[in-house]
Amino acid sequence: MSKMKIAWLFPDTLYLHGERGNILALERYAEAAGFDTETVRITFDTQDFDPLDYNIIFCPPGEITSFPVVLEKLRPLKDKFLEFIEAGRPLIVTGTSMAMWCEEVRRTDGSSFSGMGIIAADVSENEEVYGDDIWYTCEYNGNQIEVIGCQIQMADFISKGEAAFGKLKYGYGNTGNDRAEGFIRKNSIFTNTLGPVLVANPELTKNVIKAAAAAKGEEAGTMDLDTSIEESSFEVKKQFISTKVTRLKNCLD
Amino acid sequence: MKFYIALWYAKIINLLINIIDKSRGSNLSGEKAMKIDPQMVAHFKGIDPSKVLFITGTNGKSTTTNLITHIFRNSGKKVVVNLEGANLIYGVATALIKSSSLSGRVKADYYIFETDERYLPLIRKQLPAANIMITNLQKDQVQRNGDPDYIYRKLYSGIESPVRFFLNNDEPRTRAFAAKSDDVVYYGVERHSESFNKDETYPTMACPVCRHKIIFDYYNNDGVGRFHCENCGHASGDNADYLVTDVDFQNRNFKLRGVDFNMPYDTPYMCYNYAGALAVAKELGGIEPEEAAKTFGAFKNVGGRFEILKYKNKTIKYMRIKQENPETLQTSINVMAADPERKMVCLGLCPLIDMIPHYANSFYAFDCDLSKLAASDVESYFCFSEAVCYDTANRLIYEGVDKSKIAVANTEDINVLFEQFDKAETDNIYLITWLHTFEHMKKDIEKEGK
Repeated sequence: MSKMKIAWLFPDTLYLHGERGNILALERYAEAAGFDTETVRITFDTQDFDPLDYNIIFCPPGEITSFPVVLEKLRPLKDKFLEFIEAGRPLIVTGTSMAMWCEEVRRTDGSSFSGMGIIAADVSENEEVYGDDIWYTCEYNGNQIEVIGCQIQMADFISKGEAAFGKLKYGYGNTGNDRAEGFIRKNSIFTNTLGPVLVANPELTKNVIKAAAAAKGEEAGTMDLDTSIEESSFEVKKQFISTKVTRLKNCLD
Repeated sequence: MKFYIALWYAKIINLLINIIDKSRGSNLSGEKAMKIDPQMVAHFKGIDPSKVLFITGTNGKSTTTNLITHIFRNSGKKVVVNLEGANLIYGVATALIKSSSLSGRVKADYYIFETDERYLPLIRKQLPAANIMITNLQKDQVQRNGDPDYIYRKLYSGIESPVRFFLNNDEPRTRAFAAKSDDVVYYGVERHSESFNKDETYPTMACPVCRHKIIFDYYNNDGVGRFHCENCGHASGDNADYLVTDVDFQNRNFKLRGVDFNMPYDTPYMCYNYAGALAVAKELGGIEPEEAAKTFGAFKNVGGRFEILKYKNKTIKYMRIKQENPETLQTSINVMAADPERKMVCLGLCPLIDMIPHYANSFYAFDCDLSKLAASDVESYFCFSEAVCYDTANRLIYEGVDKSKIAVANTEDINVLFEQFDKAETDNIYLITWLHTFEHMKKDIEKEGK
């Protein structure tokens, strides 16, 4: 059996919103696809971390306060991450941690710091938190997929020409002003969706595994898992979102 | 003059509330009065700031406020307090209005206020409490609070010296407040039989000082226990000033400074409330542990988190969690898992309805370790509640629970719950749901004589 190697970036510093679930989902579907899995926790103590040693990299959400410290470790690897992305391997970044991959991050106290500049977008921390459901369509790995999750928005992500990952049916997305949700570059996803997104949306997860397999020149197995619970969940949440009261106006037209 | 008009207006409101419905008086008069005098709390006379204590934090502040008030009052102290959980400035104003004379003079030995962690700095601008207790600062109400650092920053930057802190020695963010004062009293809990560890796949948390990993040697509650950061040295102190030791949950007792205490509530999270209350009793009230111990037996918590309900021949053990709060969910899961008897587990993790928009969040369940529950003797699981029920079921499946043992219903209808209770062979039923759903069930059982 071939190995699917997953890097889990700074899990104790980027530790919010139950995102360990996404690692469990990646392992579950990769194993169903016929791969052995190995998940490595990348920490401040990790020596010689090379993104190119991995098939999938997962970067969970953390507090903005933590980002400058994490960036000290990640920034020297910018070219390797770019190579990883260009090779079609999936880098999955969720929640506020998207900020680390963008250009400038402006904080509410007037300070700012630079992200890695891999995504052409700036970040503006918000005074108030916005939490809500999020529902969108996206094209990933050549497939149209619908995704539902949650969003806890601490900042706005202002695109400077970077392609959006999803088109909102409902939700705040990057700024609350339009239908843009997250960013996509090749098979790498930068999304506001929490939930954990890969547990709740098996079609997306299967395609992440397929993309990772293809990038290593292999074909993923069929991943015949019973996903009836996830499908039922999707339907009841769709119903819940469709009938609730909201003040968002960005998805009305 | 504005103050007097506000005060008298509020007193008339309180008079009317007392006639109409006493249960609605925790906030209203303060809210109305502060429309007239927005600085009203600052204008009361006779309050010595050194006798004022604010109790704040994510979990435990209501219970600790209740317990401190109980100890103080049973030791002959006159206390002004916002016991009804009205923990914004209006609740503080209302408590002062109720206790003041027509001239706005307040006469009490101590002023003890539960304060919301976001609003404490604002309240302290008007009432400069010299004493602040922080119970813990954890993941909670993410729709409003985002992440723990968001609250930590608001509180940390908003508290100006001088202040005497009462700090939980075993919670990393709380203990980091020690850097803001030379006058700190620490309280904590020794390792006990319900202390636990999580396997290393569970993230811990970022150190509030340097953002590296916090390592927990063990947890007494989720996110609270003996900890250290290998990078910067931030750690729980070797010995808290007030340490609950020799905890015996079976016989419901513990020790503090060598004094024996009865435990009115035998859940692990209560131990920190006991330690904190006893620290305040001694340091602020001059009440020795021996004296405080005499008051413990009669303590009744307001709105407790664990209740028993009889339904037909079955026992329903209701465990109240704060939705969106992994710590209280983990505590409840641990209690269920520790029960060696066969049981049915009903999980009503619900959509969040505190504010617009409502939303369907269950992701905090992935922060919780369900392995011991899954390995215990569970006859069946029932996942219910609108929109979130299937995600809850899926969390169990990810823990290795066989799907055939899980029933799911996209509803909070209590009749559906009763049907599931009836189907269970075991009479030992655990239930997590909103308090209002539980109270609805309770009333129905009483009404129908079930």
